[in-house]
Amino acid sequence: MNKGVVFFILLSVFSVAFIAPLESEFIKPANFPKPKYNFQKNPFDSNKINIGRALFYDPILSKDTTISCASCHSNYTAFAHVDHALSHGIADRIGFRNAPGLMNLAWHENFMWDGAINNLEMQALAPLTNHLEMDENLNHVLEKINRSIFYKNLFKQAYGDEVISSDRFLKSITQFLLQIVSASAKYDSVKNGNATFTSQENKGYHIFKKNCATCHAEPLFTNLKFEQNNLPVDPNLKDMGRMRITQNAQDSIRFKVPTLRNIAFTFPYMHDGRFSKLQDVLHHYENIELVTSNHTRIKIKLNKAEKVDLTAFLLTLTDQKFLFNPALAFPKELLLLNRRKNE
Amino acid sequence: MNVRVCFKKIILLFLCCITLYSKAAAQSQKATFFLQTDFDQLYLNDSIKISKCVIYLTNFKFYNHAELVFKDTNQAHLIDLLDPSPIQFNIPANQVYNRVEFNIGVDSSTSVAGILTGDLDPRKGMYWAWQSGYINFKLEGILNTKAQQPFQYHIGGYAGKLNAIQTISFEVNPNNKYTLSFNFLPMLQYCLAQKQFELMSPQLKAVQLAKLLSENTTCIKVQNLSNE
Repeated sequence: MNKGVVFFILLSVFSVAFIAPLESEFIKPANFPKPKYNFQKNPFDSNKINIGRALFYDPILSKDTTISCASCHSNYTAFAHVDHALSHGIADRIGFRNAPGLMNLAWHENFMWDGAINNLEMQALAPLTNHLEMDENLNHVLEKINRSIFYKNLFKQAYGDEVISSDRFLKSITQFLLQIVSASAKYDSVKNGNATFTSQENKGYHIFKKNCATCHAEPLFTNLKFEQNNLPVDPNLKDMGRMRITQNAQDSIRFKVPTLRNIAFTFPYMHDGRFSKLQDVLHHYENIELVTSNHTRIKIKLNKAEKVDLTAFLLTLTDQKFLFNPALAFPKELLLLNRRKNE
Repeated sequence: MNVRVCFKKIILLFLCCITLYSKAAAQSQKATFFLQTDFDQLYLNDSIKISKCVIYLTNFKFYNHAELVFKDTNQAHLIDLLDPSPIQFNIPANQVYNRVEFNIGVDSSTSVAGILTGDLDPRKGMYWAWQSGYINFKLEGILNTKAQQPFQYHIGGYAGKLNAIQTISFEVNPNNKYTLSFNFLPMLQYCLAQKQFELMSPQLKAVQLAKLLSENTTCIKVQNLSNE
């Protein structure tokens, strides 16, 4: 074959590779199980992830354009709402529950403290329409986004045309949510053979395995089930947890087990944020007997030294790389510079 | 408000009808079957005004005795029973069938499938955002009494004992045209007798109301097309 033709073909291939949007693949962390999300239904695309990221940080989703998803889920605090027992939505309306940290969502089959949401793609609709949160409705949000030249351009780039449907809108948000993976803590390095625990962390790990791991199962540090931990019902909130959804008495005051990953950053703790410090949580568990959802009886007894060791282990679940991952942060260039240019 | 007195004033039926219309195109290789909706607003006196009546009909299947011979490719049909449009199916000409089966409501596998399009788009107003799941049917209106009592029933639920989906089947003949009639009156009477004017979440009572509607749904032969 003519050398010139070969050169031209190679040049074309390289050019396409550079011009085409980067396809992002979901990379399963080595020590994690198979994710539950159906990626085939919503294959990753960097342009779609970009849209999801812009929407996550954009208050356009709320009725008065004051609250974004990130208002209650800040990336620097593992997407939790730090220092807020109950999150507040538009017009300072106080919510019903603590905004949990967001991470490793691809492994979950249901969402929220009571599992009310059955698919990650539908999760965004809950805060979007909740009167105490964004107080919007899907039709109106889509109307707003469809009026935005900035978003029209983004959707055209990602989907080939400017149509902004609920399907594209929710799938794009989902693509961004799926990027929120925390799997680079010291714990993970130890599990992958790249680091070792200190002797105190190691002691703490053994205490963890003996007392906590039934519910906070490794490596996600949640068994993804609904458990009850003997917390008295708050007389004002009267939150019955999972029973609100299933109406089964056995689900009374059972809540989805939160992950312990990045726990140092996700305070306050519990479904109603009643404990502001990690030591308050450990105090709650220091002498307790629990019955899990599969009827296992667990007795926990922790002395002062054990609580210190356990805390040392829990701090190995802090994932700095995740917390300061620029790809998950506010998309300054996209939302501020590009948008201003467009609108 | 005296609900019983109100009932006495109600002429008996509130029926919402969909005509099932099927016709074999004998000469062609592919027979076309139509499901035609024909809303037959039965007489209500002024005591009740219905402002909304929408329903999901899903998973239409046609059987020849126990053998499944045709399955609707369209997952769900969202029908506005106050202004219904026909539903049509294209069934191959050589397929013989004697029974149609379908659901009132959206099944559990569809309910957990994430974002869907067409009639299952959450923009249609039949999706609970606060607790994932579709509303199988909505009935809203007002009792035109002195109190002007509004009522709203959003019936749904797909999981466990709160599963409100109803599967119904009727014997049908490809040469006939049928009307599916949804009689909401027993359900409405039941609610109003208990002064239950609102029901908008998955619950056992919703399952009961869905059953009442299902039990009062009929399939009526309208006309024999073979003589046409």
